[in-house]
Amino acid sequence: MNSPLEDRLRDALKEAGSSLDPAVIGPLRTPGRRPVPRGFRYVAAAAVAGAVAVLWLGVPGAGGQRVATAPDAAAVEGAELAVFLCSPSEAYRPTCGGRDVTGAQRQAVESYLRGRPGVTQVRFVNREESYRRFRQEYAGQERILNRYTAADLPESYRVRVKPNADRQRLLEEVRGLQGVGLSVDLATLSSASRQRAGEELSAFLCMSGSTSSACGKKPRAATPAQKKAALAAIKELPGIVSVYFESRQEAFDDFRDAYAENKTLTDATRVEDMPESFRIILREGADRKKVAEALERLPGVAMVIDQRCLNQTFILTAEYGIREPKVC
Amino acid sequence: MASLFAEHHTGLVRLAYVMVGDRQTAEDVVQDAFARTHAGRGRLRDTSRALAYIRSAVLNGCRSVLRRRLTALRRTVPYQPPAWSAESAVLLSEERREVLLALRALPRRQREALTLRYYLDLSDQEIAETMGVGASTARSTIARGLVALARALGEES
Repeated sequence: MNSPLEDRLRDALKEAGSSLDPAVIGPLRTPGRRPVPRGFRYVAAAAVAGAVAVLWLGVPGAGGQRVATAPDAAAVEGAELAVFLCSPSEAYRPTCGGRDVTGAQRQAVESYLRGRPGVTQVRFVNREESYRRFRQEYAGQERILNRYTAADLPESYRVRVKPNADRQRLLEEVRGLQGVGLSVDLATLSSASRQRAGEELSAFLCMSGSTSSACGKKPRAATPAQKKAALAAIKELPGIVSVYFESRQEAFDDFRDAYAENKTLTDATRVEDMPESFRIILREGADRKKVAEALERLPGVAMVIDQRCLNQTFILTAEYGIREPKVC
Repeated sequence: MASLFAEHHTGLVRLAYVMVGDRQTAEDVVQDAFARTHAGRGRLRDTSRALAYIRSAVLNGCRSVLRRRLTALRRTVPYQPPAWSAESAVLLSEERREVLLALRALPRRQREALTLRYYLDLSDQEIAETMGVGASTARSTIARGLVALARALGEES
């Protein structure tokens, strides 16, 4: 039996819920897909994507010699937090509604940042400065340079905090402010892009529970025969310098090192959660896209990540505030 | 786990939307809940409980969003009113809006319990699990919430 009040409440909630058109709800990104950093998902997404994408350095060849992959504490402490302000660009529309940050909002954000405990420095970076650095960083890379003008780069505040400050919390808080389009911890960037892994193409193999459609409706782990065939096929691809097979255990060890500071994440992750993969180094100038497509077609391969592409995407977003850049 | 999420994604975003009032934040809350739940899936052997676990994660996400907004409000930083509120361009009927505004003014637990019951049609037990309280507490919270809501709307319940 429902009272009239219960009916009213039910109707009101239903209408509020249905005023949200499912067609405008952004798709959920599962860890099986390439992570595209977006807003406050940046860090959380990187952590999940880390299970499949970031921070490995499997040096190919005998011995599989490894280099430390954990982001060192000093580098994290020295890294700035970037708070990008609203701009009219399309990529910022969901959070900013197509409007530029107003003077009052900019001031409010600045005084908010200055008032937070642990904040030691707040620096404003305007479009011109950001664009100048962008031109320098991508000098000679016309493909990227031609895609963006100064107007595409949002203004930002660069924030330094004390070593013991809660970086994540500050990022989340500042996202709740009007006029903020995106906030990013540049420490994630420095630890990812320092790696030589940034050059690899990684072909992750199917495992039970894979979400990739390439693994079929009832995903099973790649069989030994598939792996053997894949390895033989990879060696025949044009532009291959080396290929290295990474086991679950190796992946897990690196994962644990890379996320040593996030105990919740490492505790919740087991060796079986990590996919096996082939790590492929290509000759400079090789057609990366073509090789990636060939890899994707191999039976038993769940997905292919071009780490160079991923890193460029990270850099454009974290350093310059370009959301969802289309670089590769 | 991933398929469970895909299946319930729209519903979870709607739930978050009803609670926080704007789409982008609702999507972010659900995405974050997904990331957290995915990280914790090793402990989630019993998949029948997975949905309750995710709902809790979404609810917690909504809580921290609302808490952050409160902080922002105290610092007099302008914030976005919920899409269905009077200030917003998305207009619900006057009658619906009145109910939603009254709901929003209730204490947090009552607001959450009523939303879970009358939006998601969850049982007392499910509501209790989602909110991390006992079933009897869930039941009494709903009852008290309805009384408070009736009072706010000037109705006899």
